[in-house]
Amino acid sequence: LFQLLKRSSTNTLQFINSVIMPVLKHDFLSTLPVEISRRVTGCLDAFSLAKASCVSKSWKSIIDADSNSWKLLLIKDGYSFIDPVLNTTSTDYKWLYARHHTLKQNWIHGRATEVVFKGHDKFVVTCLQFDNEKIVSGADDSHVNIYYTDTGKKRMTLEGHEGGVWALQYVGNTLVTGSTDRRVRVWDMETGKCTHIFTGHTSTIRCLLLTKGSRPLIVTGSRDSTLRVWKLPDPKDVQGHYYGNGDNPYFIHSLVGHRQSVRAIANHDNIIVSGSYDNTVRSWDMNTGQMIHLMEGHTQKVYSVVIDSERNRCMSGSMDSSVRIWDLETGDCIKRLEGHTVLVGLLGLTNKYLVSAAADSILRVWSPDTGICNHALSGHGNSITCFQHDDQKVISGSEGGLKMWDIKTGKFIRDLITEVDCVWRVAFDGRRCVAAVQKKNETSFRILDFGVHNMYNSDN
Amino acid sequence: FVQDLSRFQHGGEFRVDKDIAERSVLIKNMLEDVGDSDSPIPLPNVSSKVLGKVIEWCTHHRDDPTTQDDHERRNTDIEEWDQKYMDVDQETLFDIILAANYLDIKPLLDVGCKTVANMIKGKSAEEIRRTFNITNDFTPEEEAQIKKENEWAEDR
Repeated sequence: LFQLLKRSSTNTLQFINSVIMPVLKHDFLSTLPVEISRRVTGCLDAFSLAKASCVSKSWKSIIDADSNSWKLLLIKDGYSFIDPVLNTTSTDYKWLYARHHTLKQNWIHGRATEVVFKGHDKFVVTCLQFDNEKIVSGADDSHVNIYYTDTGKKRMTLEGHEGGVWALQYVGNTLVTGSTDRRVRVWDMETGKCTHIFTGHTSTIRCLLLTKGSRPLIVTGSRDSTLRVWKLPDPKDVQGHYYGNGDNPYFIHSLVGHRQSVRAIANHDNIIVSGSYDNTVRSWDMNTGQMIHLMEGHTQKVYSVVIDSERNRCMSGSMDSSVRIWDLETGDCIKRLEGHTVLVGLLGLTNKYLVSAAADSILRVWSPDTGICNHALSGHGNSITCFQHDDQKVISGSEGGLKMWDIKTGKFIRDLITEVDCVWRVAFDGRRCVAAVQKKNETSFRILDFGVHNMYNSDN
Repeated sequence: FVQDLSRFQHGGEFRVDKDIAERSVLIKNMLEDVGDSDSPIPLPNVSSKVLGKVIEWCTHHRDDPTTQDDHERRNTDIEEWDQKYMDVDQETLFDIILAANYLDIKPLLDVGCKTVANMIKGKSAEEIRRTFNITNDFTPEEEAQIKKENEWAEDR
């Protein structure tokens, strides 16, 4: 046979080769026992798998039915088991993966629809929270507005505060607001009625939060240098309506100790952390109302605090241009993060990234673990007025507009909003980014919806 | 050290050190059942050609630790010696995978599966069909539909 082949022409050899080669090939996926095929598909990335599922009927059925591999890929690539646009759970993990990936690409490539609408006249929007149904905004015109998220149409205005609204948070349909009029108001967003008014603070309420858990509490921080803890009322409980006269059954206690305005608060479990214009950070036991640690070190006002529950630490940003990491166990300062040159007004934290934003127009991405600065995001022309981040991106607002950055590489990705005078507030979720902006002495809102391109196919 | 040797058998006979033979969980269990003995172990499902290949692998990896975590299993990195070892025609690769499965040699099975995965990785459907000589059995309508379903993977 060897002699025969040796004497054959190239053409003949090519022909023989074309006959022999296919015979020596093997359709592994279709002929291996399925548990072994699964070992093969289990080694592949999502994109190779998707392409391989187009090979043949049997490849398609093996790959599409390999629910476990797709599930592990979702976990590996940091995606949830919830559809990012429909907010429903699904066990079709391949389909879910495709949805998450497409949405992520839409963000990266700026594929979004935009809704623009006016609101709050020419006033400053100080606080903003939204979900798939509603956008809730508070402003220094003393009003709270609620808009429909899909159209931007105004649903209602909540009037009652006698001064600018500086803080708000809602859970379900229960909204809590704090104002320069020193009052906390609780609203039923279904009816638009104010059901509770809490008095007690003797100066502007500058910050507030609702604790997580089945029976949430309200924590408020005020320029009167105290924090107050209140039970969150149920607006539907008509018997419990309370308008600030007589003993307040919802008041639990005051946290007393700061000597200046309380500027920022954070909460995890039973711990409250507060940052104050008295240059200190304090931690408190929410149940007893007692101070746990007095954290001294900043040489100027503290503007922002976050809790790192994973490492039992907290971080604070100050006018002294530094960020400090504190040990919540001992109250000691573990690290001083240097780099900013002026006031650090804003902090954000996820498990992987600590982000700080400063009046020097720069945002910095830090490792919360080591305190090393991974990136300085430089591109804005003025103080950072607002930002939010997740484990993929940072979205930041300043004079001129809204920018998006890659948090891993620190690279600028794109401008989301340009040609505005100022961005007051920004918030985003998996699908949308909502910003309150100022242009030519008029306040307006922009909704960028990234859940559109290639995302219409909502049927499974 | 005759008692430390065990024997594979098929067509021909293989004399192999016990620690090499015990890379196969199947054989390890058999040896535990029969106790120390010098009698051959029949392996009806593996040809002597493939068995020779498998023993070559077991010999090279006789000192490997037996455990590995799932994370290691799920990537496609293959060490250099294994890459050369797996540089065989597809039919032989197929037989090695089946033999590794039958003999219960998990690390060899994984290397085999990773090798196949690497032949698929990063390729278009048409390239994969050519690699494994697979006929496209979709109707044009089906193919269009499936392409559309998987279009997202092109969006990088």
